[in-house]
Amino acid sequence: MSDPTSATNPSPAADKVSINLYTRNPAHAIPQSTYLIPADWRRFQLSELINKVLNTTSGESAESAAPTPFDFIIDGELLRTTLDNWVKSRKNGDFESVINVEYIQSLLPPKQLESFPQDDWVSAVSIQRPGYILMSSYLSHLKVIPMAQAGASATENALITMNLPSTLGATCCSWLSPPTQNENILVGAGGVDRQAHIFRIPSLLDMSATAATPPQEIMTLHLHTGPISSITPSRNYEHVLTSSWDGLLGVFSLPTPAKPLEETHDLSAEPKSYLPGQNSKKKRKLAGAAGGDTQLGGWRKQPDMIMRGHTARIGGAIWDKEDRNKVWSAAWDGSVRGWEADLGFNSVLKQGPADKAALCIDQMTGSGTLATGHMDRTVCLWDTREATSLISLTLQTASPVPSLRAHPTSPYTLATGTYSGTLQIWDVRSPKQALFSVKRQQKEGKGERVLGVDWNGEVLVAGGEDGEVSVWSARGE
Amino acid sequence: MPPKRAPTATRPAGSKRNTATKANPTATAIAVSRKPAVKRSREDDRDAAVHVDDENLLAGKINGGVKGKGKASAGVVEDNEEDEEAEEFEIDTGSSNGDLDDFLDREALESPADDEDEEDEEDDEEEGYNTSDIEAMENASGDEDDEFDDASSIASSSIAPSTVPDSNLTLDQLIAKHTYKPDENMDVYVSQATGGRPLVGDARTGKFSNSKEGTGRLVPSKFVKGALMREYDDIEAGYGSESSTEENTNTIGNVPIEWYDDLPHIGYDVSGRKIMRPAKGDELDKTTAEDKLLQKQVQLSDKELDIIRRLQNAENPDADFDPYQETIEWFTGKGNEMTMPLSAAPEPKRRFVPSKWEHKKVMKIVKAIREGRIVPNKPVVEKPRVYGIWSNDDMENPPHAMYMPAPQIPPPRTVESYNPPEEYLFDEGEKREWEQQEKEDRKLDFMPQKHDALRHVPGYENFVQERFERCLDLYLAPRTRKVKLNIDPESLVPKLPSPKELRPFPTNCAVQYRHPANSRVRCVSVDARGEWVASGSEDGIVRVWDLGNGREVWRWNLKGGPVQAVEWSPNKEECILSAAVAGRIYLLAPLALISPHVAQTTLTHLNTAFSSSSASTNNIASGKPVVPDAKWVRPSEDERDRGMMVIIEVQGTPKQITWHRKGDYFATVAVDATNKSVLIHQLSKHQTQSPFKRTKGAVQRVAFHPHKPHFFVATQRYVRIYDLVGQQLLKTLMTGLKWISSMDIHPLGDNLIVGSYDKKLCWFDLDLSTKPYKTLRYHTKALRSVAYHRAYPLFASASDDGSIHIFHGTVYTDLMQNPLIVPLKVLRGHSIKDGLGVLDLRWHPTKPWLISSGADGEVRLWSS
Repeated sequence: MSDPTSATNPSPAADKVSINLYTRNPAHAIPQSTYLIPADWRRFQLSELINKVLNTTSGESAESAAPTPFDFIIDGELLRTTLDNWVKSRKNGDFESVINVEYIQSLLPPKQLESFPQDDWVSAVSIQRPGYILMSSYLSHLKVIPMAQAGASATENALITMNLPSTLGATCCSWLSPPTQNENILVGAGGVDRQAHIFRIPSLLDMSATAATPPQEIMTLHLHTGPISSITPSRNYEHVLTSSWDGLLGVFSLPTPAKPLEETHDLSAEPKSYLPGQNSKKKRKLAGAAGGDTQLGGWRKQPDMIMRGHTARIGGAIWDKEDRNKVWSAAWDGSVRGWEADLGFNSVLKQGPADKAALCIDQMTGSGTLATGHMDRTVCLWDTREATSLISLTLQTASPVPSLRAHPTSPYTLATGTYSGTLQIWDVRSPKQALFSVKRQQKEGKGERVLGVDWNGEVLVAGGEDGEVSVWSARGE
Repeated sequence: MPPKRAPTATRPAGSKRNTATKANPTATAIAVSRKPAVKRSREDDRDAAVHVDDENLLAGKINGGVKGKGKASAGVVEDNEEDEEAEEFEIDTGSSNGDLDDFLDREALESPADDEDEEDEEDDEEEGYNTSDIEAMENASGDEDDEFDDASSIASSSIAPSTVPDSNLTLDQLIAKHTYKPDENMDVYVSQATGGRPLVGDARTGKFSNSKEGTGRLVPSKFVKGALMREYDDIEAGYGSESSTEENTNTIGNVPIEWYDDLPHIGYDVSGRKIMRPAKGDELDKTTAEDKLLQKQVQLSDKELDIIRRLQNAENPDADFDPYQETIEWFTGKGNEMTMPLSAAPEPKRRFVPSKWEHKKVMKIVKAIREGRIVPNKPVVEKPRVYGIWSNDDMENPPHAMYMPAPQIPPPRTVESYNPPEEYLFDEGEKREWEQQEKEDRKLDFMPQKHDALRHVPGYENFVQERFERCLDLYLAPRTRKVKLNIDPESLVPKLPSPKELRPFPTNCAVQYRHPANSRVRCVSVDARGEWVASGSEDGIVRVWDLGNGREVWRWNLKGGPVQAVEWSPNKEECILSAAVAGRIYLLAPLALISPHVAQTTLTHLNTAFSSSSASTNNIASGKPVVPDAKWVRPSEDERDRGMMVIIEVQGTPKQITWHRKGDYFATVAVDATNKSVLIHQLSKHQTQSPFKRTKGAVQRVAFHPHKPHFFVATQRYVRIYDLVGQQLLKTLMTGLKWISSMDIHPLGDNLIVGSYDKKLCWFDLDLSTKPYKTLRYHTKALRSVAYHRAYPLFASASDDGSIHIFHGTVYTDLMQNPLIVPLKVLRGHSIKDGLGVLDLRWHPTKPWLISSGADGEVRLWSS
């Protein structure tokens, strides 16, 4: 093993710092030992050191492999300066004690790739189907936008636009078919009109087929008495979970190739008029851009399961990433609840402070930890594997977090969008500070709030008040 | 020999009292020194025996031979009575004989005397002790002469049966008779000794003897032959007893004994006879001591010498005294451990009552500490190493209570120097100006002058004047002591809990609800479920917003000028929004946003009155005061489709709408509608009534009590509370404000906050008084709105200065505890536009969040 100190920095280092280097990623693990490092080293030198040690241990020559950049976390904080400065500012110049330094693979800061301006607020985005962005807007429509391949110019044209029956606006959207399914793709959207709407797209590849039979709303999910806050497909895409402001969770079954849609109404239509004096045209007018067709929307469906328990608006609900039947929901009453979806049974209740209103929820892969974004400017992590634990970690942000997405594979990183218009990538190992925080360009006369983000580990898509769907390249470990 | 003789030697001292005249054996001691050596040794022995027996006597001897003198003088008296001339012989024989006789008599008579004693005691028991005593006294005077002879004769016969040999006895008695000269007292003695009766059996009494009963024993009398005399035991002459301090017989009194130096005698005894000077011994004899009064050497015994030696050595004179004797442990030590308290008495009260005097003493010290006279842990003032030895001028004056330093003369300035820098010197203009000015107006009372050297400085012409003025200053200086308050200002601030402990409360702006064209938002309201925010802006549009993300979801354009007030109905089962514009009150329902069930109840509630009395929209209820200016109008069908359900046309411009808690009644205030300014509307009947025929002052705000049928009316200066059921005025609150702008009632109903345009906020405790419990003034401009939170102990005030103040206000159920008011947070964010800042604010019904609307065209949600 070459001596790293002599190899890199010839300057007369005044002080030496002893550090322990470790990582949680087994791919980059190096032998455990304490290194005596010149105090004026920065991230770069430390990264080189690790690369050298890695190459030496793996037996390869230093030149053969491209060096992997690393970032270093000390006490939950990313090392941004020299070790010397860090020790002086954080440890009052205590150079004697050994510092534990965790290193992670370095990530490039997010870079904006494309931007798709819209006419109204974008309420939610989804990129669960590779290559396509599904977005919902307060203009009450769903759009599928093809993501441009690298190098290609951004296309503003939406591939498909689907209108909701009312003009009140769509609040959430989701792909409801597996990415492998290329025909009869289902998408869902929840609206302020208290209903979730399921659309069927014949095909995304063959545009001619789509042109022949335009996407059509096939199902209208009736349950909620308040606007829908989230719509999520189960892992096997057989059920869809909706949550609403009224504190209810509904599980509806989705048509699958094996189980085609029953073309019947489960319940009668909502009353058109409530009193003799009330005009029968009201509903239709409210519905907005609807034709003369008496059949507004799809087939009215009732839920398979209703889960009651929350006392306030539900911010979001997700399916557990490991347990098929498990559902997690976070609400404005400060609680996070776990449900058995097949029984409708509230199995877990984690009641936080009552004023801690949760706006969104997602689950970290691998660790099962739940991440919730809150109105009080925090992101909270809830350990689901310990029954008694409440909030295990709190990430402080500058403004409310209406949307967040965990990395699809990594158990450490997550992306958040905030009301102040920033997109942040967090690493739970560095909870004091976000790894990256980028601000969306603000347009004149428009608000800056980000309302929805989605992240597949490579690409981060965000939409918000400024009516723009922006695509960022953001890798996460 | 001495032990045997001891009783006899001591006896004369004791018996002398009874007999008074008796041959004293110690009288021989006088003769001892003159007698031949044969006699002398014997007398020495006797003396020694005396001293061995009686230590008290010893002590007397050393002190001046009191005892010895007494005995000696007794003997001398006796001798002198017999014959002065033949004293030596007489004394010698008498003493020796008497002594011997005594001895022999006693030896012989001891046993019979004892027997007689016993008999006497038996007699005593037969006859009372006291009576016999008295009889003896009576008889003593009368019967003594005639019975004397009988007594003596009988006495001899009564003695006869005794064991004493007759020959000796008679001989002795004869000798005694002849050597003794009876005197006048003799009778008394005899009668005393015999109890004043014939010694032998009296015919009248039939008794053998009437002698005095007692403890003494009967012995044959020395003076009367054959007679008996009672002899008593020796009285132990203790310290202080009569005998121990017996007077000596030399009666010269307190004259120097030297006066007798050239005389053969040394004084006189009680009878006036001379006491002759005794012989002197050897000067060198250390074993004798001089008795000054009797002028003789007293032989000191070994014991006395030992005592002297001890005194010389400063030891205890008592040889038997053991200074190192064992301690006798009565209460301590092994085996004497106290297992029980000494006393079973209960603890006295004083052990538990704090001592009053101790308390006074302590309070004295405390007072001194408070006044600073005693300073605990006062640092020792070290004397400076160098100090003025001639005066204390450099020392600080002692902090005396009356000490008042004279006003200080300001230190000299540069301009007063004899050689000031050039710039201080006057130029021509300044000089002229200075000269022209009045003396009082001059800034400087002298003209600066420059001198090269100090020796060129002339005498100061104004010196006397200046001294005089200084004296005047000192004289006129007020002789009062200005006490500076040395109070830590922090200590005056009441102790309040830290805001951190009172979380949650709104701290940051979370959501903004932006109005286009930044039109002023005069009013804002949050619906009963806390999901929708309604705002009314000056462009005449009422907007409904999603509280969570600030999306405008519904709007009504009222087209009636600025929207003055919006208010959601507090009923959660319905969704009714009331809005006021000039001359109209709208009842709105965002039907598209609410579930069909809620929409149905809402519509039913709003439309029932239309359907029941469809003929008249101009509702006039029978028996109620007609309010022709309040007209319930049904909007057109299109308007109803949009959710505009009812329009009430009223007089003036309603500025405030407030709902009754049940959501059926609501009250409006239109300041410019004079008498009809306050209206109470009932939804279910479409009725409007004016509760007051005439209002005192311009009504600003009204409010319903949270749970009682009370109605609060705020005019410009007062808040009046009316009972709606009893139709009477309950209370008038004196706010002390000039113009009330806003008012809110605590959800418990006992407290009230009032905001005013004169920047003040008053908190009223309705149980306490009609005056404000607290008046807070912290805003820099007029208050526009105040509000209590319905669930949390919070209240807030909004002002034209663009800030919102958040307070913690706990109201205790305990009536004795005043509400706790703690300022928590100042929220800044609204910008001031045209002198207007925050116009309205509302609390979220369940969360500690605040909604505020501002003149800058923004509504903000402040979250914790």
